[in-house]
Order: sequence, then structure tokens, then C-alpha cells
Amino acid sequence: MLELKGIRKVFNKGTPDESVLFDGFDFSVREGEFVSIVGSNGSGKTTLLNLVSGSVLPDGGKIFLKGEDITDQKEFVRARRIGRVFQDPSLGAANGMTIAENMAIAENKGRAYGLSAGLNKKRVAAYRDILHPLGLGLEDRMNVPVGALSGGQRQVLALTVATMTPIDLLLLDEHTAALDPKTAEQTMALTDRIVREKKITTLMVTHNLRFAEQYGTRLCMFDKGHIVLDAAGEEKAQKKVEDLLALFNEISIECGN
Amino acid sequence: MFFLNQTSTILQMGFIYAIVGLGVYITYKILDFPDLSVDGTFPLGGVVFAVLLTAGCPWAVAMIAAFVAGAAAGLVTGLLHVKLKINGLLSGIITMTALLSVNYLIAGGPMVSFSQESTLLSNGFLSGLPRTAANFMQAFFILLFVILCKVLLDLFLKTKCGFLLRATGDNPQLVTQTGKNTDNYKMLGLSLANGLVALAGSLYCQYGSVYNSSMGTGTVVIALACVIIGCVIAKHIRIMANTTGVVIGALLYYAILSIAMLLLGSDYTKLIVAVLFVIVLLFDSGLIGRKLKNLFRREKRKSAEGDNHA
Repeated sequence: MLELKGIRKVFNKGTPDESVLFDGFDFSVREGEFVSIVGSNGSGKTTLLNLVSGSVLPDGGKIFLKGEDITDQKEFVRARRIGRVFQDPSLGAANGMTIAENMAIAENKGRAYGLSAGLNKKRVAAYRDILHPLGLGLEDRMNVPVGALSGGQRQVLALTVATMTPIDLLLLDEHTAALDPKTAEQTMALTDRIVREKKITTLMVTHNLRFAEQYGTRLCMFDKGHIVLDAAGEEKAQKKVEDLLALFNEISIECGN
Repeated sequence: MFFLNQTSTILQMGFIYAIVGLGVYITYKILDFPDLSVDGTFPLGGVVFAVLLTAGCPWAVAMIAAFVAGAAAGLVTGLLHVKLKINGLLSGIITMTALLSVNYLIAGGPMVSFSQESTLLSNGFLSGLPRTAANFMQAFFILLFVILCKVLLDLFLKTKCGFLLRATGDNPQLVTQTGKNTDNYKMLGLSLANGLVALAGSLYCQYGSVYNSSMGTGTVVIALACVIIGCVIAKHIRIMANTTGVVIGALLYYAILSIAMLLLGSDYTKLIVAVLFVIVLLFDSGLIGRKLKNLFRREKRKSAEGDNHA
């Protein structure tokens, strides 16, 4: 499904601050997997997502999505098959535009954006039906600019919008990190529901060890560009938050924190 | 009579700059792009119109050509920015500077006069009217163009393409996520904006039946002031579209500018333009509003205290 082969990524290349993050890094995800990735800052979790989405290019190696080499594809080309939700709630939608307008843009993904009406009145009812089960009351605020919504509402909308059209892969980049604990909890539960319902292959980066333990079908822990833990299925089910925390502390101590 | 003449001038100039304002609204408000090429594309529209007209081209065709020329110049700014990765402000300055020579070369000199030619604002019908009536009729003709541009722009912004143009300025990442290249939308916006500005430039020339190479100086500042005033007005009136606000903003701006010019003399024009812009910016940032509010509160408190003592 998704394959990274022999990836090399160097930051600050050619300067005294040069640091090699990935060197000969291999990683693969199978169809339908929901992978949670944890790790300390600078461990390469977010860089992995950036490499897959195309917002950062590797210095070596190849990236394959469904067998197709996408290493040299521009970010916007890859985005046709990849959905992404960011940590920053303001990145998920156009904040000056209404919920309905944002959903209309998202729904048209993969097709031409021509001179036909941007917002089809009949479709707004369908958008309401999509928003209703989320239980946030967004369906009654279709004409409200997204910027007026709370961070949690915006993240849920971003998730909805990212998964409105069929995609091969969903990238979640610490998408609950900017939310308060209760909202984060709700957003995570909704994320799980959407991913299960639509059976989307998902890569989720998180700082919340409990989310990583509780959700998803596979768990990876990154440290300085290496995978120090990779557990799926039964093995993952047996991992407790305490185990993760112990391992996490171990790698953190190595760093000298 | 004096008052009527002043009013007609304000309407004529206000409407012309309303079209410039609509263009600058696209770059400044929608794309969030500080486009300075406007100072060059405004006279570009004028010179293309003047040269084509004197070569025997009908005014309507010459105006369309002016729009196309402006759009092409806007595209150059866009290409400099998105393909060569030059800072947006600098891209505009580069185009503006280059256009100084381009405009001079097209005109073959600093001026092109076409007082004998028939145009939208100077034709047999208008010369048959009394002077004041003709002035108001001119303003009306320009208003028709303003309405046409405004309605077309409003409609465009409601299309799928328009949605992505708005999203490009709002959140480029979202446009990328829909699988579209933001570069194309930036170039589209810049072309459209500068096309409108050049169209306004052609109207400006028709207003005096002459092209003058210095007509572009300060256009950006005037247009930005109109846009900012317009958006502040539109923000406070719920049902008003931003584009309507820009048109009203342009009229308001020209009214204030005319009064200031009457009081100080036309030597001070550009200085007044600059000072007015500062005032508009301060209003927009809320600095003046807060100061006024505080002053008002203090007065109120004082009078309340006075009442207590009594």
C-alpha cells in the first residue's frame, strides 16, 4: 500500500548544523491499517508524514503508494489521493469561507474547478446529513465562517472535509494536540469512527500515548529516525500505556533529558 | 454650479477608481498579495487604449485590448512570484518599473492626445448636452462599467474557480489538499486584478481625452485606501458585499480628497493622498477608534462626576 524504501533525509545540508535524520529508512503500511506513531520531538514522526505528503522531499530513496512511485510527484498532485489533517486547526479549512463553501470545495476534489456555481443549494442538505451524526450542531451553522468555530469543531470539520472524497491514505498530524483534553477525546473517538466506517488506511502521529495504545491497529515508536517499537494486532493489544511510557522514558534518557 | 461641477468630478473619478479598487480588492483582500504593479498597469491600460484609438480602432475594442494588456502584465508579476520565487512585493515593483519604459515605448513619448476621436466619454451625444449634464452623463456611463465589473466579479467569486481563488488567499494548504496548484490561482487573480486596473486606466484617459505617462503615480495608495475604507464599511453593514463597499469607499475617498484639495490646493495632491492613506490605515487597525472611544468615555466620566458633585 504505502512503502518507503531507503529514505535519506538530511536537515541543514552543507552547514555546520547538518543533521542526518533518516538514513536508509524503510517503512511500509498495509492496506486498511491504522498506524499510530509516537516518539519524542525530533524523532522523525512529522517528517515521515511530510515525506509521504510531499511537503518535504527526501535526499534519497523512493516512496511508493499502491505500487506507484510518487517520490517526484508534487504535493498537490499527491494530495489527490491523500487526505491530511494538521495540528493547527486553522489549516484544515478556509477560515473566511462558510462551512457549506468549504464542504463544496472538498466535495469537488479531483474534478475540475470551472465556472459553474460553487455552491449547489441541493447539495447543502447532503452536507447537513454528513455533519449531523457528528453531534456538534455544525449542521445548523452551514453559513457561518469556519473561523468562528472552536478549535475542536474545526478539527472535526477538517477531518470530515479530508475524507469527503475517496482517498487512499489519511495522514493525521497530531490533530488533537491543540485541543483541550475533553475535546481531544471526542475528536479522537470520531476519528476512529470515520476511519473504521470508510476503511481508510491511516497514519496518525500523536503525543498522546493513551490514544496510541487505545486506537489503531498498529503502533510504532520512533526515536532519532529509527523505529524502536513496531507492534500490530495481538502484540499491540498486549501493550499497556505503562509499557509505552517505560520505553519512552528509556529513549528520552538516552537523549539526556 | 461650482458645487455641481465638483460633485460630477467626484462621481467620475470615484467610479473610475472604484474599478481600480475592485482589481486591488482581488489581490489585496482575496489573495492577500501586496501588488504594486498597479502603478504601472493603470497607465498601461491608458496608453494601449490611446494608441489603438488614434490608430483608428473603435473605443470598445481598444478598451478590451487595455484589459488584456493589463492582464498580461499581471501575469508577468505572477510568473515572477510563483515560478522564479521572487517576493510578492518585489515582483510587483519589478513589473511596475519595467512598465515605465514599456508605456513610454508604446506611446512614443510622454503623452498621447486624442481629443478628436469619439470615445465612450466624448462623443456626439455628449457634446450635444449642456456641460454639466454631459459631466453627469459621463459619470453615469462609468457607473455602468462599475456595475458590470462588480456583478461579474461577484458572480465569478461564487463559481468553483472563484471558491479556489478565495481559498488560495485564505488557506493555500487547503487548495493544495484539493489537488490544485496554488500558483495557478495566484496568477489568475493577479491577471484579473490588473486587467480591471488597466480597464480603469483606459476610462481615466477617456475622461481627459489624453494619455499622460504620469497618470499612474500613486494609484496603488489611492486604490488601497478605497479598498480598506470599503471593507470597513461592508464589515459593519451585514448585507453589503465587500465589492459594493469598495465602490462606496472609492466615492467617499474621492469626496474627502476633493475637499482637501480645494482647501489646500492641487500642489498638495500626492501629500494629501499619502496622509489620507495613513489615516485610513489607522482607522483600519482600530487605533483611532480606540482613542476616540477612550476620549468619549473620559468625557462621559467627567460629566458624570460633575453631576455627582452637584
